[in-house]
Amino acid sequence: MTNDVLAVDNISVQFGGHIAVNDVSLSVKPGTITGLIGPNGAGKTTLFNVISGLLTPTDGSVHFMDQDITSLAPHKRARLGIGRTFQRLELFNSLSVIDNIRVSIEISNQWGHIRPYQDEPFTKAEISRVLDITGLDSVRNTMATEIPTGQARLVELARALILQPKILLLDEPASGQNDQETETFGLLLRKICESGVSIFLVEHDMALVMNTCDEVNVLDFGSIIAKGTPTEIQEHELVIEAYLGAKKQ
Amino acid sequence: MTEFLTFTVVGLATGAIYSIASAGLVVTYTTSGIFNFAHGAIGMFSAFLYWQLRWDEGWGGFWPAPIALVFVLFIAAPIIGILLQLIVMRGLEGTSETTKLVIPIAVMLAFIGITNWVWQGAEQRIPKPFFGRNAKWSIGDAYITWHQTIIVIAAIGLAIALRFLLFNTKIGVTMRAVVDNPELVELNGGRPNRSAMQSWAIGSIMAAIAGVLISPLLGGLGVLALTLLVVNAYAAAIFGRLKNLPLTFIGGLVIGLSVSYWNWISKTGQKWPWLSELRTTLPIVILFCVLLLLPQDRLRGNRPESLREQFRVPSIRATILWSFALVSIISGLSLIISSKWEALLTRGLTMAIIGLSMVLLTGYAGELNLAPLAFAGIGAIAAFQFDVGSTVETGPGFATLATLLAVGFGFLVFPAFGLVKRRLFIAVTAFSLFVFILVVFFDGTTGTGIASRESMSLSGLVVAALITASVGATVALPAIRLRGLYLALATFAFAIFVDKMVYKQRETLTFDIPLIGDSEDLSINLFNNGALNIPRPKFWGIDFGEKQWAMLIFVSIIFCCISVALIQLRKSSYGRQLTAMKDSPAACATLGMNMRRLKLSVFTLAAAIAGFGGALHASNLRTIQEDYPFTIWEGLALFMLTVVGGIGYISGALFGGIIYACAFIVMGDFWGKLAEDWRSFDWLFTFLQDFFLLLGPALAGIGLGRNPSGVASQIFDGFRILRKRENKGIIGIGSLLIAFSWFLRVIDVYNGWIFIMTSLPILFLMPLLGDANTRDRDQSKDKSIEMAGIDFQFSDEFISFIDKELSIPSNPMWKESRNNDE
Ligand SMILES: Nc1ncnc2c1ncn2[C@@H]1O[C@H](COP(=O)(O)OP(=O)(O)O)[C@@H](O)[C@H]1O
Ligand SMILES: [Mg+2]
Repeated sequence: MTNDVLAVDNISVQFGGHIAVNDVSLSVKPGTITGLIGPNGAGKTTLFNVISGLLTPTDGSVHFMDQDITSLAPHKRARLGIGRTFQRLELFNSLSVIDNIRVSIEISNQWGHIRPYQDEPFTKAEISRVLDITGLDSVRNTMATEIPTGQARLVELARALILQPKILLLDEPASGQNDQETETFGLLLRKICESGVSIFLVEHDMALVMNTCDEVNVLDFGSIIAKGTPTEIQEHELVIEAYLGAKKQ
Repeated sequence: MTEFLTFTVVGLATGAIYSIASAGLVVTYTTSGIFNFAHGAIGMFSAFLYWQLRWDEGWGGFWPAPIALVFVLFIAAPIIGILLQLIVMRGLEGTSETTKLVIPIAVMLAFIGITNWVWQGAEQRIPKPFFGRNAKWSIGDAYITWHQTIIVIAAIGLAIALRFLLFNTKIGVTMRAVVDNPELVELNGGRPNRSAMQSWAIGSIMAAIAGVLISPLLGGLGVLALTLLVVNAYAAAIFGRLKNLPLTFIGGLVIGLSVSYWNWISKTGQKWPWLSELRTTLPIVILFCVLLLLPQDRLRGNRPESLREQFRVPSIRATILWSFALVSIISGLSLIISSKWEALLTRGLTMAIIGLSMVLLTGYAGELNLAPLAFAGIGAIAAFQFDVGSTVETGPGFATLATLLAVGFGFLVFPAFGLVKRRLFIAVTAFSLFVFILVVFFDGTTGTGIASRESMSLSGLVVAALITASVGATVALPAIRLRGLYLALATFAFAIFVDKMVYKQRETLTFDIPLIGDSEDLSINLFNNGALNIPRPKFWGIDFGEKQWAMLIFVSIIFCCISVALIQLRKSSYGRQLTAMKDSPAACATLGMNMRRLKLSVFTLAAAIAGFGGALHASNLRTIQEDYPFTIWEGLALFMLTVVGGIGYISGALFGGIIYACAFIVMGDFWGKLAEDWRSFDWLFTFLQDFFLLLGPALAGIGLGRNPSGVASQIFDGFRILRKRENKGIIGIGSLLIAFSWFLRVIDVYNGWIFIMTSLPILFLMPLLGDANTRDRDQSKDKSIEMAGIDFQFSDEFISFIDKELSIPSNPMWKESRNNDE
C-alpha cells in the first residue's frame, strides 16, 4: 500500500445514538510529528482509543505499517510498536516513578517477548537514559501519586518510550505544564522524533502544535474539517471559525 | 401433554417470581450503581415477617392476609429500603468496587443474623399458599393453583406498573437517563437522593413480594434456603445486563421454565442421582453461563478512588521481624492459655492462611473472588480423597496424577516469574520431580491403602494445593475475561455450585481414566456421606493430633512463611505487574500486557494457597461437614472481615482470620458467662451474647468496611510512632511490663483474665504515650490539614509542610504577598 506508519481509514464510532467519530481518514508518515487538534468533545481521545485498540470502531479500518490491525487486541498492537499516553492520567498509582517505568519493561518482557531487555545492566541503563531525557531523575523514587500533573504526563511518556515504539500517540501531553516546561517539552518531542519514533499528537496548546508538528489534522464534531501544514491550518477559514474562533469568544 | 402443561405452569409461576425479584435488583442497580447483594435476604426476611403476622400467635397473631400483606409489602419493605439507603448505601458513592461489594454483603449477613435471632428454635414454620393448598382451577387435565395464578397476575401487574414508572415519572426518567449515558447523568449531578431513596424503596418492595410469594413453594421457612432462592433471580438480572427490564423479565421466565423442565426430564432429580442437586443449582449455572456470554465492558482506567486505596508494602526485613514476633507471641501465649483458646487461635490462623489467598488475588491483583472457602473446601476434599481418604483407588495412579498436576501448575505459574524456554522446562521438571519424590518416597504412599494411615502428610497438603490450583485454573479460564462485579458474581455462582453439587454430593462417581491408575476406574465419593474425617499431621516425632499447642505454633510458622513469600512476590517483577493491572488495566493493555495469562496465573496461585489452607484448616478441625466450615456464607463473612482488616495487607488477612474464628465467639462467651453469673441481668447479657454471635461480623463489615486501607493497617500505624528514637523507652518499659505479667501468669500467680486485663491496657497505652511524647517534642508535624487555622495558627513551616504533602512547588511570591498583607 503506502509507506505510512499509521493509516486510519473511514473510522466511525457511535455511542448509543451519538456519533463521536464520523468517517475519519488520516495518516501518519514515518519520522514525522502529526498533530490532531479540535475542540473538546471533537472525538480525538475516542480516535486514539480506536487506534490503540481499547475501543472497537463501528466502521472503518486501522493499518499499522501496512498491516490491518482493526481487530487486533490492544496488547498485541502495543507489541507491534504502538505506544500511547492518556489524557486522563493512567499511572500505576501504587508504584514509584521508576517502578512505573520498570514495570513497563517487565510487562512487555512477560512470557519472553522483548529482546534486548533480558539482561539487567542494559535495562538499568535504559531506565536511566529515559529518566534523563524526560528530566524525571530527581523524582525517580517518588510515588506516582505525589508528583504534579505535568511530571505525571512525562512519566507516562517515559513509560511508553522505553518500549521503543514505532509510533507514539500522545493525548494532550502538555496540559498541566507551564509555558517554560511546554517549550522544553516541544524540544523533547523533536528529539524523540529524530530518533526514529513517529508521533501522533493531540494537543490544545497551539504554540506547541504549530512549532513542532509537520502536519496537522483538525477534527470537529467527529469529522475532519482540515488537513495541512501548520501554516496552512492557521489560515484555514473553517478552522478559524470552528476552533480558534470559538476560543477567542 | 398434561405433564408438559403442569410443568410449564409451575415453571412460569416460579419464573414470574424471579422476574419480580430481579426487576427490583435492576431498579436499585441502575439508579445507585450498587448491586444489592442483600436483595435475597430482604425477600427472606419479609417472608418470615409475613409468616409471623399471619400464622403465629405472637405479635397480635393471625392477621388477615390483606392487612398482613399491606403491612409487609407497603410499610415494612419500603421502610427497610429507605433506611438502607439513608444509613448504609448513600455513603458508598465514589468508593471502590470492593467496598461497593462488601457493604451489601455485610447487610445481607446482617439480615440473615437478625432473622436467625428473632426466629430462633427449630420449630417448623410453614407458610401457606394464598387461598390454601387446594384452591385450584384447571386447563384440560392440568391444574393451576390460585397461588400460581396470583403470582402470574402480580408479575404482569408489576411489569405494567414499572413501565408506567419508567416513562411517566421523574425517577423513571432518571433511571432511563442513567442507562443511556451513566457518565453524563453523573456529570449533571444526577442520582439525587430522593430518587435513590424511591428506588431503594421500590427494590425492597419487589424483594418482599418475591419472598412472600416464593416461601410457600418451600416445605418450611429456612433462612439460608429462602435467601438462596431469591438469589436465583440474580441470573435474570444479569440476563438483562442489569439495565434492561423487559429482558430481565424474560430472563426470569427462562430460568423458571428451565428448572421446571429439568425437573420433568430428570424426574425431580431421581433419574441421574449425582445430578439431583441441579434442581436447585440450575439458576446459578445459568448465571455463570450468562455472565460468560455477556459482551464485556471496555477496559477500565483508573478511578479517583484508587488514590484512596493504597497499600504500603513493608520491607522483607520488617516482614521477617514481624514473623518472628508473631511466632514468639503465639508460643508465649500457648504456655498460658487453655486448650480451648489454643484451638480457637489455630482456627483463626488457618483461616488467615486462606485469607492470604485473597490478599494475593484481591489485594495485590485487584481481582474479586467471593469463593475463597469453596477453594478451601476443595483443598480439604482433595486432601481427604488423595491422602487419608478411603474412596479413591490409590497407588501409582496417585503419584502419576500428582506429578501431572505439578507439571500443569508449573507451566501455568512459573512463566509469570520470568521463567521461559529452557529455564521454564528445567524448573517444571525439577518441581514435578520434587512432587513425585515427595509422594512416592517421602510419605511412602507408593501404593496400598492410604486409607489406613491416620495422619495428614506433607504430600497430602501439597497435592491438595495442586488439585485446588487446577480447579482454580479451570474456573478462571472461562471467567478470566470478566471484571469487577461480574467476576464477583461468577465466583459467587461457583461457590454456590460447590456448596450444593460437591458438598451435598452423595453418589459415588466412577470415571474411566486412561493411563492413570492401576485399576481401570477412578471412583470417588466426593463428600463421603456428609462428613470427612481429616486427621492432624504427624512428623519429626511430633503428633499434632495430641498437642494443640504444637499445631498452633506449626500453623503460625506456616502463616509466616507464606506471608514472607507473598511480600517477596509483591516486590518482584510479577508483583509489580499485578499491581499495575490492578491500578490501570487500560494502561497495561497499551503497554502490551496479556492480562488473561497474568490473571490465570494469579488465580491458579491463589487457589493453591486457599486449597493448602483449607486442607490445613480441615486437618485442624479433624472433621468437616457439608454445612461447616466451608460454606458460601462463611466464605462471604471471611472475605468481608479480611476487607475490614485490609485486604492489601498480610495483617489484614491475619485480622480477618482471627476475628472471624475467635473474636465474636469470645465476646459471645464473655456475655454468656456474665449472664450466668448475674442472673438478674440475664436478659441483657443474653441479648449481648446473641448480638455478638449473630450480628457481630455483619456489623463490623457495615461499620468498618468503608475504611479503604483496613483496620489492621490503622492499628499498625498507631504503633508506628513507637519506632521513633525518643519512644524507645516506652517500648522497653511496656514490653517489660507485659513480659512480667506473662511470667506471673506462667508461674500461676494469677489467671488468664488478669493477664489480659493487665497487658491489653499496657499495649494500647504504648502508642498513645508515644504519640503524646512525640507531639511534645515536635509541634509542627502531624497536624491534620483540616484543622489548620482552627486548632493552631498557620506558620510558614506548616505551609511548606502542606506544600510538600500536596506536592506543590513552594511559591515565594505568594508567601511574600501574604507577609505584605500582614
Ligand atoms: N464511553 C463513552 N460513552 C458515551 N459517549 C462517549 C464515551 N466516550 C466519549 N464519548 C463522547 O464522544 C465524544 C467525543 O469524546 P472525546 O473523544 O473524549 O473528545 P475529545 O478527546 O476530542 O475531547 C464526546 O461527545 C463524548 O461525550
Ligand atoms: Mg480528549
